[in-house]
Amino acid sequence: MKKLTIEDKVGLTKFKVDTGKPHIKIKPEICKNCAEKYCVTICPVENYKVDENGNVIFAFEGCFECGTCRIVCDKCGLEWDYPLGGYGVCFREG
Amino acid sequence: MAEKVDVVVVGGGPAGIACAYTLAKAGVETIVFERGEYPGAKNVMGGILFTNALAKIIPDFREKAPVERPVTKRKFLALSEKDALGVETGFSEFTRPPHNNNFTVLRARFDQWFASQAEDAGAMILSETVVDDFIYDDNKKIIGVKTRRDDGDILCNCVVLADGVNSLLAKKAGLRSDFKPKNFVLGVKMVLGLPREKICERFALESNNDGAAYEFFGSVTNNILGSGFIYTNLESISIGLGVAVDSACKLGLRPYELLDKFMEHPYVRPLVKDAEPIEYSAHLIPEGGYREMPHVFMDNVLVCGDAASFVNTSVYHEGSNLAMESGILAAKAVMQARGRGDYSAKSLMKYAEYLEESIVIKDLKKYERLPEFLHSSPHLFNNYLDLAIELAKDYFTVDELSKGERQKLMFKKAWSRVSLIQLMSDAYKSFRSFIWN
Repeated sequence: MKKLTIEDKVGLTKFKVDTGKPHIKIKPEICKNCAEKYCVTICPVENYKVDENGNVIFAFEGCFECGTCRIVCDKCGLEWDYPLGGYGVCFREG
Repeated sequence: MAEKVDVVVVGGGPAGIACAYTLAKAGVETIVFERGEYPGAKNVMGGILFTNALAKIIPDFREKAPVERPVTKRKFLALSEKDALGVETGFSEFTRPPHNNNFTVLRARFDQWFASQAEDAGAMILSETVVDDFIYDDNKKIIGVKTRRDDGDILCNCVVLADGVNSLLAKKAGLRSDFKPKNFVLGVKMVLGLPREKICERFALESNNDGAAYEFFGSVTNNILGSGFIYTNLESISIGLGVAVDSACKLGLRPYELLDKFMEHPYVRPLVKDAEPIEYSAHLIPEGGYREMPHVFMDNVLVCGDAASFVNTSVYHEGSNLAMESGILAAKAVMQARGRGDYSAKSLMKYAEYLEESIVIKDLKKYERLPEFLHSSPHLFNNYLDLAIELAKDYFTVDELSKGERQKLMFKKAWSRVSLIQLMSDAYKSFRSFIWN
């Protein structure tokens, strides 16, 4: 089987994006100074990235709402909530 | 003035729907709030649905429910980087109904069907509705829920929390402590399309009424706590793995990279060859076990399923049946409370008593030592699996070395990698955790 990039994988899954209304918000100052940045590697859709200045860049589209970032963050660096009802990830297989 | 119903169930998964179905059948006015576009839209499991609890409320589910295949064949395999060693089961009794209560399912389809059954029984299922908070009376007792809709407040006599592994509401109600990474496994999964006949061929299944479940340990999780799986659906396979969140974080492992590697393992590659990727998904699993369970009842509130951490953390992976069982028992406790007109914690304590008498708590208690033992013994996956595979390979090697000489070398290799004291200590702890506590 052809190897899929993470973008290919996430592209298979259906989402209804609540444009401009992220259900997760990060606190850039806290995240920049976080030594561990566990969210970056553990996020199954790679929504957390680190830029060349050490800032954590977060995109909420393509989020599976699994909550892993919420439980690994011990610096209170993010506000995590569910998207509005009917929005966000919509598994067709599950 | 907000509308009032008897019971509000938060979450349209196996626990919530089993509860709503049971209540509705008994004529209790019940509303289920589901945040997804439909029940199942946010739900993922491997997945094998254990149907023992389902069969209690819908005995003829096999004719009606969108289950994929019964599980008639199982394999358990240890993987090293390139090699595999396993055992296989093929119990002929399990090829016949009720198939050992094991069926593969795709949750988006199954949960929708299950919810429709509750709806037919008289429950109201309201999808696309997030429950954000509770409504409290002057005595700080929960008397309803606030949904994220206009005029979304609903009063009720009792709230059943079946809102899943990330139960923010159980936390808000003060029923649980913080979520700790060590108590969770992150599962990632791909559904891959394959024609029915190819599935039968590759997994040596006699017909489309047979199914396989393969479990993998070792290199599939980079030798950390967790396991991989391949389950056959009717015309797709589910392949994925779960890793302990704390260990994966500490090692900086990316779950989807592990999944890529798993699919390229020489043992796995031919099983997924030319399959068509259909969906990628991920979900958390509560694996803290009995010792990390939240409180499951308080005045006017009960907690079921993953929200209550009802997952058997041993090799059984049972969770769906415990979720449904807990939902049914919650409904039973609510009906009793309703009869008494008393939904106080003292009255709803009946739920905890029912759970204690059921396999839910009995099984969780049996394996209560397991999560801690596995977390404190990372070498179990590291040392023993690789060694076992190597020794088995040595044992079966045919060359010019005599069998006696070969076996002497094998013993030498084994004792250079594991000390007798370590082996005895691990054997004792494994026995206490898995078999006799």
